[in-house]
Formats: sequence, C-alpha cells, structure tokens
Amino acid sequence: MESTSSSRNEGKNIEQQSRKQQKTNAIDYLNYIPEAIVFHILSLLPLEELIIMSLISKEWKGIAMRYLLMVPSTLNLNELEMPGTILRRNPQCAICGKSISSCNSSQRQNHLMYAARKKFIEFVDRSFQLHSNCIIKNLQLSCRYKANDKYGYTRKIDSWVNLAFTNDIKMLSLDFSRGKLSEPSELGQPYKLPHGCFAPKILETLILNFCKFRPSSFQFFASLQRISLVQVEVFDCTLAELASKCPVLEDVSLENCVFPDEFMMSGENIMIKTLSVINCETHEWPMYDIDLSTPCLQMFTLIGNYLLTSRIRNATEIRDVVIGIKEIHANHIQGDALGSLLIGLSHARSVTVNPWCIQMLLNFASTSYKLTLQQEFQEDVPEIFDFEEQIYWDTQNSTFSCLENSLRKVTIDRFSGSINEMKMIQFLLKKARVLQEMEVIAISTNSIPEDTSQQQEKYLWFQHHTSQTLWNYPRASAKATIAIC
Amino acid sequence: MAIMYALKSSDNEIFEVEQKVIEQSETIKKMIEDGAATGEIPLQVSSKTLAKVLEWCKQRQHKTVENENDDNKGKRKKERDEDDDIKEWENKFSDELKADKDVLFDLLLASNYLDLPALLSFLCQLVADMVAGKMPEEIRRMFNIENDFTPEEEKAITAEHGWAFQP
Repeated sequence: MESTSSSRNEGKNIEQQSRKQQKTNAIDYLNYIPEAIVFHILSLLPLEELIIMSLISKEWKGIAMRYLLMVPSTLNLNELEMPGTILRRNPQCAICGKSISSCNSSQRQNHLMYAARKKFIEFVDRSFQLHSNCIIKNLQLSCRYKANDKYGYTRKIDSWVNLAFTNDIKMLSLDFSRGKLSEPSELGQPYKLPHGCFAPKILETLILNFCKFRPSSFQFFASLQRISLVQVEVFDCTLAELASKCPVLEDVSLENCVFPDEFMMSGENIMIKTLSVINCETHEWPMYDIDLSTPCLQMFTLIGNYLLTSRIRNATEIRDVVIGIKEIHANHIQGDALGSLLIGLSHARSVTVNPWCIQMLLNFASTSYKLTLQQEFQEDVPEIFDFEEQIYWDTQNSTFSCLENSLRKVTIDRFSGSINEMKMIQFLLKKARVLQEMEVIAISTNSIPEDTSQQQEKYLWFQHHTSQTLWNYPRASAKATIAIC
Repeated sequence: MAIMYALKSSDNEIFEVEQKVIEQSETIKKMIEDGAATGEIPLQVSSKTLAKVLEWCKQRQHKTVENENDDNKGKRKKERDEDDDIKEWENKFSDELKADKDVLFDLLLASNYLDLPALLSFLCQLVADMVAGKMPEEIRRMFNIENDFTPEEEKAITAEHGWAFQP
C-alpha cells in the first residue's frame, strides 16, 4: 500500500498521482463487503462519525444516506453537550488558527465558545442534509439561544426550525432553555418561532421549551397526538383553536407557560384525553378563567395560584383529577369556584388535592365510587393555615353526603402528626360511614438526621403515641381499617 | 476420541479440526447435520484466512471447555484472570489484523459465509474502532477508497466542513 501522505496541502500533481496509484494497485476493501455488514459497522458509529464517512467519497455518501433511510434515526443535536466532543477531535482555535491551548486565557474562553458554536452549526447543517429525505423518529434540538445575538445565530436557528417543521419527523423537541427552569428574568427573552405555514404531516409529539409559540403559524398538525409546552408564551390562540388544528390530539401539557386570558375558555367540544396545566399565567394575570367542554377527558391536573371561573363540562369519562391551589386565604368565592370545578369532575374515581382544597372538598356531593384524598404538598403549606383549621374541624356539624355515602379510601401522605392533621383524621373517621381503608403515610424517617439518636428516639415515641391515638378515634364505619406506615 | 473433520481451503490445503471447534460455524454444523460432510469439506476460504478462522474458533472453544471443568471454588479469581487472558489474546489478534487488511477483510467475508456471528461482530467492532476519530483522508488511505469527488466538489465540502478536515 502506498504510504505517501496525500493531504490537501501538497501539490495537486502528487495528489492525483496518488489517487491513480490507489486505483490501480490497491483493493478498495470495503467495496467487497456486503452492504448488510457495512450497515452493521455503521450502526456501531455515532452520528459524528457517520458524517465523516459520508465525506469520504460519493459512494460512501450514498451508503450513509441509504443507511439512514433504512434505520429510523434518533437525532440529539444538543449544543450543551455536543461541542465538547467535536472540540476534542480538533483542538484548533477557529479564530487565531493556533492550538487552543496556546491562546491566552481571556481570549481562550471566547475563542473556545466561538469555535464550539461554529462546529455545532456545521454539525447540525450536515445532519439535516444527510437526513433530508428520510423519516426521523426523534429529533431533539437544544440551542444556546440568546436574544441579543450579534452573530446572526438566530437566523441559523430559524432555518433549522423551518427544516424541523418541514421534514418528516415523528417526535420533535425544541429546547431553548439552556437546560434551566428558572425565572424568566434570568433567562432573558424566549426564542420566537419563525412564521410560516407549516403543516407537519407525520409529527406525533411536539415538545417546546422556552419559546414564543404562535399557533397561527401552523396550518394543520395531521398526526399530532401529544403537545407539551414548557416555559412557552402562547399568542393569539385558545386551546380549542389549537385543538381544531390537531384532529387526533390526545395529551396537552402546559407548564410554566404564559397564554392569552381566554385561552382556557371554549364553547366547542375539545376531544383531548389528558390535560395538565401547571403553574401557568396569562399575559396579564397570575390566573385564568377555565370553561371547557371535554367529553373525552380522562385525566386532569391543575396546579395554580387561585381560582377564577372554573368549569369543566361534559367530562363523563374523567378518571383521575389532581388539583393544587397555592392560595393562602380560603374564602367562599374560592370555595364556590372549587365547588363548581369539582361538580364538573364528579365522575372522577380519584381526586387528589392539597390541604387548601380539602375544606372545600367536603362540601362536594360526589356520586363517585372511590374518592382518594391525598394530603400532599405538605412542605409547601404555610403556617397561616392554622388559624382557620384549628377550629374548622370541630365546628363542622352539617351533613356531607359524599362522606356518608361515597368515601371509601383516604390516603394521607407526608403525615407529620400536627394537631390539624389529627383533627382532620378524627373528623373523617367520625363522618365517613362507608370508609374501608384509611392509609396514613408518615413523613419519612430519612428526614430526621441520623446522627442525633435522641431525636430519632423521640420521633419513634411520637409515632407510637400518635398511632395509639389514631386507633382510638371513634369510627362511623365498622369496616374501616387504619394503616399507618 | 474426538471426531475430526477435514476442511479444504480454496487453495486446496487440508485442515484437520475437532468437530466441537468447527461446529461453532452454523454453516458447517448444518452440513454435518445434513450428512453432507463426508470426507473433505470444501470451503471458499483461502488457507491463510481459514487458519485465522480456526485460531479464533479454538480460542473460543478453549474458553468454554475450561468453564465447564471449573468448580465454584476460586472461580471468580480465575474468571478474572481468564478475562485478562482473553483480552490480551483478542488485542494481539486484532493488532495482527490491523496490520494485514487483506486478511482482515477476507476474514470478515469468511465469518459471514461460515456464519460465525461472534467473530463477525468482533470484526465489525474492530473496523468501527479503526474508523472512529479519523479524518476522511486517513480513512481513504486506510481502506484504499478512491476520492471521487471532483476538485470543485471537494473544495465546497472543505469550505463547508472545514472542521472535519483539520488535523
């Protein structure tokens, strides 16, 4: 085999000569290997290496493309992870041309960042090129987006997002959060998705993180089943309008999002199965009206600051409901709002609420088979609850039909043994006539520092003492069992 | 007394091999089961390559026999030592193949033809490791691949993907 280096720096003549030599003297080994084996070899290589292979020759470009056509590809283009590996391959400074280690330290950081960005751009471009005709199973694109961008990087991102919405992709995740979930002020402006008339044909799952999303930029999502928005600002759209563009939409999840005031209001039926709205706001208010008609809804999660108009209509399929309201003051307006929300969800088999909701919940006349009260979020609950709750349980003398006829199982999580909790349990045991099971899960012993054996002993004593007290409470239901763990 | 079979290479060299060793090849195992393997078994593999194939099979066979004879006592330490031995053997084996690519690719074809999945995947991994971290020009040289991009195309690629070509 010839050993002359045929690098591009040498004269053309030598290079051509060496090419000729290769042609005549040596065997192109890989040419003799069946394509199935070549594909197997390619399957052992990461995408970066596949890109290198596609640069070897026309034939290899073809092989790499055929390979990608055959295997459903998963592309993780992550600017937070990738440049490191690319830089390791080639530690040359992209600006001054010297080896990275010879730049001085102040330059170094900048140059390194610049070099990393440049390589990432080239890598993403090439990845899109190689995949231009094939179906991508899962594309995750995470960019270090910055609003005040001097180098035209935003335009580059725009072009990738354009490609992402026009290529055949089944699952698409666009993340501009730089891996953080933090206060908007810390992150600056979210990335603005480009305008267009996108109509992704096979897209089934769309996950957006930290961007501005204008559903009017999209014509139609023919196959979209699941949409998950995190830290996304939604403009000019309601949930119903979004759903009308997605005929097979099933799951909607909104977390730390900002949407228009009317977003959660609609007269039309929305045929989704799960809806989860967590810590969202409108552009003007920390909470929003909810008035939806969802005949197929099975799971509903609402975590928010307080309640305004809250109605879920036609939810006859509903199974699981989770409601957590952070409001510190409980008043009758909030009570009415929660009541109206829960009446709409009265078909639910399981309702999980935080302590704030429990007082309200007792007024809720449910026909459901099994109602699970889950006292969660214990650690987040401010002390301010105490003043009302102390006397609350003792003063409740009215009849509660849900308690008397429906409540079968109660789970109390993160039980700490406070007077409020004891009173609430006492109250429930006294009232619930068909109760079968009460499960009390104590705050884990792990939360007690291990080195203080005295404290631990105290804790064990307390646990024993509390259990005794709980077991001695009078029970309305003879069948009721109490399990403390 | 172990049953022996005679394998005939494409250049008419005869290799006497124990049945257990050669049965690792699904292709030959089938021939034996079908009763087609009477006398010499002719194979479309050169003697040089067939010697390598048998070297691999014997090493694998050796390993499984030893494991069967072990009792539990001291097995773990022994296994660890054995793993080291095998690794050492495999390293030597791959170094020889890297140095002689004719044999490497013949062996790749032979492992496919003889249906030796363990050898095939070992060799594929070896080729993948040889390619990993290399520049396109290095890979071309390693496997004698002709660069059929026109100078213009190459210039465009170099401009577009300069990062891949830098040493």
